[in-house]
Amino acid sequence: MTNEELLAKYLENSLSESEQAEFNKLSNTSPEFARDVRELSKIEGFLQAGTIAGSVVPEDFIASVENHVTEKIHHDKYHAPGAGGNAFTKVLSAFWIVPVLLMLGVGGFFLLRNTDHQPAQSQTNAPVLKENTGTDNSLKDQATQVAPQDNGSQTEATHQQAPKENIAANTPDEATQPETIRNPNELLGTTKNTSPANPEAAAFDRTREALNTARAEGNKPREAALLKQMGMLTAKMGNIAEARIYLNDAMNLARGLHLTTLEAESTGELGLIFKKEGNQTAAAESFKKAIELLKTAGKPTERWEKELQ
Amino acid sequence: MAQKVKNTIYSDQSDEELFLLVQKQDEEAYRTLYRRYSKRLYAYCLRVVGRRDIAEDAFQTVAMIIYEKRDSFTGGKFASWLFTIARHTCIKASQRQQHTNVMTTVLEDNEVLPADDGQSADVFMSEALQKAIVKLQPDFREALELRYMGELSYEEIASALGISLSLAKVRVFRAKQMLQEYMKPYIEENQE
Repeated sequence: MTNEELLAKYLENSLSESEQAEFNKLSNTSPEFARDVRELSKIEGFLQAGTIAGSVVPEDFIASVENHVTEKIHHDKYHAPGAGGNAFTKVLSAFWIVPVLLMLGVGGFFLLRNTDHQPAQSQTNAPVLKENTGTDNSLKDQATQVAPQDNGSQTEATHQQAPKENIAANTPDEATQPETIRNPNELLGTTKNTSPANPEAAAFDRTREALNTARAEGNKPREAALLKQMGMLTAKMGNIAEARIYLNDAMNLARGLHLTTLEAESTGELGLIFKKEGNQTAAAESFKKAIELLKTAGKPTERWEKELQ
Repeated sequence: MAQKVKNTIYSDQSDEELFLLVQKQDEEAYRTLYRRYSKRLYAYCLRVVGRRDIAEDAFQTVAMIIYEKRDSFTGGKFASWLFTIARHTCIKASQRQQHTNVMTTVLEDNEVLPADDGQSADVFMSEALQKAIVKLQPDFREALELRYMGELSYEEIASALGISLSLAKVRVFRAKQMLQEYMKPYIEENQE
């Protein structure tokens, strides 16, 4: 077996006993081989960290695609021309138009009444499919069934990466608005203080933009660092619930990427959130975890030790 | 209760058995398969195209294609078939977007950086590795991505790429060696 084969098997963790003995012998006698082992092991570690564990998978989006395709399967199976089903269901399906028209009529009546008397309301938060970005026509063609198009407007990455599509508007005003984030703090739902004069709000906007860029580039380490920053800023702005989400995301992403210091700092910041909420036990746990991680990384732990006291 | 029993039965099925049911338009079979692969598939699309918005387009295209083109699966490993579709879809998307220049963009000075020390040495290592992967020759890069993002076995990689098992192994290992070369300065710096 060649040295390369031994190395390849070592990296795949598939050495037999005799191969392991040969590998150990080589590692001890050949400095070049030992260096290769060291360097390739490092690469292997980072490759492993870059797998799914290192990716923030947008659960809402994934779930919405699943629902959409299964709805299509259901539709194709029971409602498409030539679809199966017994005579009774076929007769029933022929009359579907009657209740639908009735519902539309009643719904339309109430909708018109409401829009006469109420101010425009904000968009619904219901998770829905992502629209295609309007950049790849062939993909769009293939995905037409999956992602209905709107006017080609570009979507913006959101904190949860929630998929988007046209949302049935409640009012004529909303129907004519392009789907863009009109308020920088829309992403945070209830985050207070949107004034550009507020330095925290301005920092928040810049960080959010940087976060979107990092996500678009697939730059995970930077995304993790910015998520932590978002958590800290959001906490300063008084939205504790949102801050916890950001910090949790930062912590999990950092863990997946083996960024120990960042994981420790995010955990510590999360501890501060618990402390603010009066949950002393959870806070202490977080500070302890942060200290433990920082010790592993050989970094100073004073800040969190102080908090722990 | 009946639903629970049904789900248990589905989860016990192999990918290929489930896909036979998908071919008969069984929604639960599709859901089970989808849940087995969606995260890997998403991570793979993201890695290959390098941009989240394009990755999401490609992902939902693949999710639909595997249902719509279900009859074109005529045997073999489902995972290989799935990732072959994913690879073609992502490559097509990448070519149109010319994403590589986006992937290799360096951090701009005026971007917001975290206030404190979040950027440890391994952050830079990880960033450098991402850039190094983009530089790999396509044959080696796709084998590596199928292995680490798709989490495919070597047999599945070989089948997806239409190459022999030994060549699949060689390509993945060579890709690592190339990365070792690209990453030398960072690794040495990190060890000092």
